Amino acid sequence: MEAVYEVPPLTCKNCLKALPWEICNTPDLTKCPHCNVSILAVVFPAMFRPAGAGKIGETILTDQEAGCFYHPTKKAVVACSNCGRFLCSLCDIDFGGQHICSLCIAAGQKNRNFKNLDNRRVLYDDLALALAIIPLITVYFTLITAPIALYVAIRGWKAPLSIIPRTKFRFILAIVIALFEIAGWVVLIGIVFFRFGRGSF
Amino acid sequence: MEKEYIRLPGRRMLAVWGVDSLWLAKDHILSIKKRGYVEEYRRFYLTDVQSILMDQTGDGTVWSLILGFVIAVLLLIFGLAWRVWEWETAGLIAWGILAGIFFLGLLINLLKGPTCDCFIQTAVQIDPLPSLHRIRAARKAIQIIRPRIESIQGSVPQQELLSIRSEYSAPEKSSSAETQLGEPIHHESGIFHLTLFSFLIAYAIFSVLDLFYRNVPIYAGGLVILTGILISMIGAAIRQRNSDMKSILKRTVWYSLALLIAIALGGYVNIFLFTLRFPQAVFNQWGIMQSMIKSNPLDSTFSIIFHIFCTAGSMFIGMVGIILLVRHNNSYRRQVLISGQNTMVANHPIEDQAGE
Repeated sequence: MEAVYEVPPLTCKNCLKALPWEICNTPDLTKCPHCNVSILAVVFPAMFRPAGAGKIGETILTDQEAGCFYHPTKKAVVACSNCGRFLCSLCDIDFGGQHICSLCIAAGQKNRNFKNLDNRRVLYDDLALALAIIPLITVYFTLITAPIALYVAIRGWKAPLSIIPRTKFRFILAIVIALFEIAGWVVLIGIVFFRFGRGSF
Repeated sequence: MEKEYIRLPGRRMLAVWGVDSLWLAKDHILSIKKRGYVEEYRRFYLTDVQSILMDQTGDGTVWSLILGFVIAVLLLIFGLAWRVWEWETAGLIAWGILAGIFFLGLLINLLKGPTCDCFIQTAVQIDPLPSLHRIRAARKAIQIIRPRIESIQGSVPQQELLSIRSEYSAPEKSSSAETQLGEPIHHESGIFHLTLFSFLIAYAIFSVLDLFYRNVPIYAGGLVILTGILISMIGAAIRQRNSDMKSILKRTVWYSLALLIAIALGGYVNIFLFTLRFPQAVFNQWGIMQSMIKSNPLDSTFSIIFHIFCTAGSMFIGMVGIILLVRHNNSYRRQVLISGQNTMVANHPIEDQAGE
C-alpha cells in the first residue's frame, strides 16, 4: 500500500510565504512568486524522508536476560563503549559509530573527550596576542597588560586551540612582544631609578 | 595529509572583533562564529541536511547608498574648503584622504556584489549561515556542498519535484508565521517609525533654520525634536521586534540611532570648540547656552560642516525610511487582498511498509 505523509513546504525568508516545489533545485536564481525576491532553493532527499520512530526498549521477560544499568526493567542490548555499562535501546546513543551512554556523553563533553561535542573554545593565543598588541595604542597600559599577556600565553600553551588546526605562531608572537614591552619598562624604570639615585634632580 | 576541514567561500567580518566562517568536513558542515577570542561551533551533518535556501537582500544596496551619501558630503566639504574657505593644502589632503577611504569602501562593496541571507534546514532546525552574506560566495559554497550531500543522500531531480502535488495542513499552533525561536510574528503598521522619520525630516529643516536664523525658540524647538526622535526611536525598536517588517526597514531605526549619536558627539565637539574660542563665556551651563544662541554659526567652519551633516543625514534617513514604510504597508495591503491558505500534501511514494 502506498504510504503518504505530509511534507511542510519551504518558506521564503523575506515574505514568509510557502514556496512552490517547482522553483527548487533550479540551476540558477529564481524569483519568489509572492515577493519577487531572488532566491535559490536546494532540497535533498532528507526533506522527504519520514522521521524514524524512537526506540523505547524491550521489557525483560526472564531472569536470564541482562538489564539496562539506567532502566533495570529494560533489556540490555549493548554495552557502552566508554564505561562498559549495559544499555537498553533507549539509552543507547549511536555517536560516531560507537555506542555511548548519556552520562559518558556529558562527561566527555565536559572533559573535551569528544571533539564533535566541542561547541565553544577560548582561543588563548588570540587573547594573549590582543593583550600584547592592543594596549600599545596607549603605551602606558602595557605596564599591566604585558605581564598578563605573558601569563595567558604560558598558561594557555597546552590548551586546545581552534578546531581548525593552527600553529602556535600567535603564542610565540605574543610572548616576544610582551617580553619586549616588559624589557622596555625595565629599562625605563632603571633609567629613572639611577637618575634619582645619583641625585641628578 | 588530507585536511580535516576545507574552508568554504564566504567570510563575514563584524566590525573588528567578529568573524563568521564556514568549513566542510567529511560528514558535516561546520559554522564558526568567532567573537573576540571565543569561537562557537555549529555542526550540520550531511545526512541530516534537508535544504539550503538563499534569498537576496538589500543590505549591499543600502551600504552603497550610505557610503555614496557620505562621499558626497565629504566631496561637498572638500569643494567648499578648496574654493570658498581656502583651506591650506594639508587640510585639503586630509579631507581628500578621508573621502578616498570611504570611496575605497564603496568600491569594495560594489565589487563584492549583491548580498543575501542563507539558511540551512534539518528536521529540527532552520539555522542561518551568516558567513554566506554575498550571493557570489554563497553560490560557490553551495556548488561545493551540494555534490557532497548528494553523494551521501542522493539527489532529487527537478522533474520529480515538478510531479509532486502536495497538500500540507499546518497545525493550528503554527498556522501563523513564526520567528526561528517560535515567537509569533505580527504585522506592524509603523506608527512609531512614521513619527521617527517625520521628526528626522523636521530636524533637517530645523538644522537649516538654525544655521541662518538662530534664536531661542528655534534652539528650543531643536531640543524638542531631538527628544521626539529619541522617544519614537525607542518605540520603533520595541514595536519592530518580531514584526513582519523587512530587515532593511528595521535597520533604518538603527541607522537613526547612529545618526543621533553622531549629532550628540558633534554637538559636544561644537561646544568644546566654542568654549576654546570664547573662554570668557564659560562660567556655567546656562552661560554657554546663551552665548551659543547669540553666536553666528556661519563664523565657525566646524559649525557649518556640522549643520550640513545634520541636515543631509536627517533628511536622507527620514526620506528613505518613509519610502520603505510606505512600500511595507502597501505590500501588506496587497497580501491581505490576495490572502488564501496554502495547503500542500506530499504524494511521494516511499517504501511499502509490508515489504520491510
